[in-house]
Amino acid sequence: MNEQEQPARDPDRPEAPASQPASPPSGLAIVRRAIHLLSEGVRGLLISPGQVLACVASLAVATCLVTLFGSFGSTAVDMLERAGHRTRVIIYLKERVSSEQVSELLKEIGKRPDVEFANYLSAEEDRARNAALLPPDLASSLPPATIPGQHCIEAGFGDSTERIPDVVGLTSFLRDLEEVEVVAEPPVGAARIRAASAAVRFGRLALSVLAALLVVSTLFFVVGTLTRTMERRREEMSILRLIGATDAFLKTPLYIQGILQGAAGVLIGASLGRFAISAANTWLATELAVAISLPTGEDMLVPFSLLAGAVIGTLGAFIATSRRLP
Amino acid sequence: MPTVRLDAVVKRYPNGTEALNGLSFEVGPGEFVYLSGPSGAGKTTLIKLLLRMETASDGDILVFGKNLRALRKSSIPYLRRNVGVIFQDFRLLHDRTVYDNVAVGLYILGLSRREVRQRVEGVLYDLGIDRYAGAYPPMLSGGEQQRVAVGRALAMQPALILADEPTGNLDWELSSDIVRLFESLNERGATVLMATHDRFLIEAYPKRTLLLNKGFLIEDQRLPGEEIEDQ
Repeated sequence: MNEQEQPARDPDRPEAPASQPASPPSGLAIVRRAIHLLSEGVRGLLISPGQVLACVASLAVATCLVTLFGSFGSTAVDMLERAGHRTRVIIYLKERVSSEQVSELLKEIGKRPDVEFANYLSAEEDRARNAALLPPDLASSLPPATIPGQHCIEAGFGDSTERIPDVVGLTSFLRDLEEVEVVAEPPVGAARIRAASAAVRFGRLALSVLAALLVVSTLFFVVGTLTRTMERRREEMSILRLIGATDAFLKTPLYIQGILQGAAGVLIGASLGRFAISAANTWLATELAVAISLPTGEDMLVPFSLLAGAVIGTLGAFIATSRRLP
Repeated sequence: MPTVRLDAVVKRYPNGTEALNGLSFEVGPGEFVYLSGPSGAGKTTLIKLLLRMETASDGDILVFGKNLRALRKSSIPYLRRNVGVIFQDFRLLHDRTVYDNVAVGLYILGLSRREVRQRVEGVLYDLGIDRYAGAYPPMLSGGEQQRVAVGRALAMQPALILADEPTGNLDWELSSDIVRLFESLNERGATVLMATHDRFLIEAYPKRTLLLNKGFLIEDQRLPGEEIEDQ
């Protein structure tokens, strides 16, 4: 066609078409696109509402369980650690142990990270301590010499130490020392403390594994919902690709959908968990008169839910879109 | 610079079929060209190559001066934003209104709602389907759906329009309407490459015609005036 015969071009038509592909979008265009993609993400929730509801419900249940387990678990750990921290070990020394040897022993015991203090008691001090353990009437009626007293070291696990008390380790260590005559076990028994400590550690591990499994299972729900959305929108996405949609344009609504689902599920679950814990606290206080307050994590509820939901949603969207984006 | 340039383009499919065989031609800015030939001639394959839906097995394809072989995957969407494409099967979004179908590309461009509204309303008016703005495609006739598909391409104001058998499902009157529509776009400066096997349509609205058969360019039929101009 003769170019001179060409009709005048519409002045509104974009010039230099070849340069357009290289031109980056303006800031305002990006904001408009973001608003559009946000609305598309919300629209994605309505494509398979039943599946979205199932996904949110499963997330809520999982989060509720994790919240309850976390609260009960941390309370149990706290109680057992307190019990352990109040434990005292009495190390009765042989008569011939000198004061220099006592000083060395105190240093050795004090080096252990779970031991907060180690005090030397003379035979008289030990006798007085034993007398104090007796009922006052009985203690006053007995001749002082009949109350046993032996010089010893009292070691204690204090609240300030971070470690779980290793009572068995300490007593084994002390029993092997030449200067030690006998090591008195704590009132509840070292074996029980050890068993409780192991139970707490196992409980922590089990709860962590359970929480991870719950997260993974809910992740499958998120991936499943987003995959369903992509399948329902496959034709639409292929058309959008043909008219110039980028990967980001296609993926972003799915990420938004995933994050909204995740945040909603976690927020609902955490709220339910908090409600259940509050109810449990009330019940413990009124029905059982137990002065235990399970932590509700109220301060962290909203930020934790949004963050956890965003992480789960983002991860789910990443998995779904990296495998099946048209 | 030609809008489209093919240089010894070969398209060979994994099963050994050669859909295009050494195709070479140029289409200048503002030209209206028919791609004609029987079924299996390679028209649709050529459209797909120009849209970079597929890549050539051999040879070079340049669109707006860009070699599609060298085009990065991330740059393909930006190329497509300047190419309006219309398919025989319309490829409309059935759960979106006519308005949204036409507007969808403009959201990709990041236009404001006001700009989108202005462009969409203008296009719908030009195509005579403004009264169907709130309707859904399944509620429309084939011709009206094709207009919506044309509107979606037009709204983006592309410099190149690729139409793959856009009149294939339409009667003569509607087909004529579509071709006249493309003519008006062409008059406004757009380059049009329209695949059709309808020789009656080509005779009624004569343009430069690239005749394909079995992947070969059999003939580049130019209008008499164009031949004189070329000589």
